[in-house]
Amino acid sequence: MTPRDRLQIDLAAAQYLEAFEAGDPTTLERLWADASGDAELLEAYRETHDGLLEEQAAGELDAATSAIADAVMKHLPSGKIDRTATGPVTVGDVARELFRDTTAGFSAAARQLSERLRLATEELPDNLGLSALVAWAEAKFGPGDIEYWKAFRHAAITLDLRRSAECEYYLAARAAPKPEGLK
Amino acid sequence: MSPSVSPPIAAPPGDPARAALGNPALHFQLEKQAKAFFQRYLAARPRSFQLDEAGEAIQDACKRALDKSAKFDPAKGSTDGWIHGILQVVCCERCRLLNVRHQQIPDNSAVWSSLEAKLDSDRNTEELSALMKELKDEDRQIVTWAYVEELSHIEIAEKLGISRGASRVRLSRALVALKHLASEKEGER
Repeated sequence: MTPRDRLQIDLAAAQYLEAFEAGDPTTLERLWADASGDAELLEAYRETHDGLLEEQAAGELDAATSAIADAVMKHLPSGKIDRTATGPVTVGDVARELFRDTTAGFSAAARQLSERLRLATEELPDNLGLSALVAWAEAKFGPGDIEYWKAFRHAAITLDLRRSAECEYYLAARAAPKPEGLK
Repeated sequence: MSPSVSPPIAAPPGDPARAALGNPALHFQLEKQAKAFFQRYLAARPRSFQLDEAGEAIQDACKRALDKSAKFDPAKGSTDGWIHGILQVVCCERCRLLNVRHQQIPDNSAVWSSLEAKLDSDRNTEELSALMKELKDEDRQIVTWAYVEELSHIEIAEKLGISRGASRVRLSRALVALKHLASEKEGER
């Protein structure tokens, strides 16, 4: 398939999605007539159905999750929802953890720094020693109180250990194959 | 004594529509098309109602395909595409009967052609750059991957950690957004 063929199929698939979402029967009929003579176009439309079904399923899951979370927070305000996270720990993850637990005791400047860090998506550095962490973080996000950075480091190590433990748990919980003799 | 097994009923020769309808893979694809359609248009109705509508639409489409099979011309295209087209008509008709309103998209084939020309040859023109700048970050990123870096759908899906179908839908949404921007610019002139 040449880049031009690919572009034409992508644009036809975009027109199909637009017409499908609007429910425009005339355009849909025309586009299906085109697809009956083109196997790649037919495949592109079928992929569009796959993608739409996935989006709908993901939307339903999100709605159910947030409804449950809202109910828990409403009826059990002292509770904490543990969301299983995957991937490396980010600065934002640590700042959110810290914000939830301890920011009330920090200065206004530290709380402003914390607000900025909550939006950060950078991964934590490998070296979580206090001086290395402070040098790395201040170079990226600006200066902060040493007390804040100490609390940040503590939360970072806790979160890192918790996530590693979760990974190990899931690895250990994999279904093992049955021994040969039991089959 | 072994149970007798009836041989599958083969489609009569020269009846490609009947042969296609005997293919479970096509039924699976028709099911996805009808489910995606009714989940969108009947979102307010219970899931069981949406699934019933999808099932009935597929049955109706298969019946129509069999009734019209003599009119199908294999020279004009594949039976699969033809049957998907029939199912689309049936789905739209069923929605109309349920009083679900549809939107008629104005004929904008000229805008699509103009966008195709922009993306095909003049990828670095100021006009295209200006349109790209107005796209949302995620849309601009996927269009750049597809047409500047020429990544395949599988590569884009891998980068985003999503399926090929989801990547197809995201690229299509980005192209529709680009088309709307191009259309607005044309209107301003």
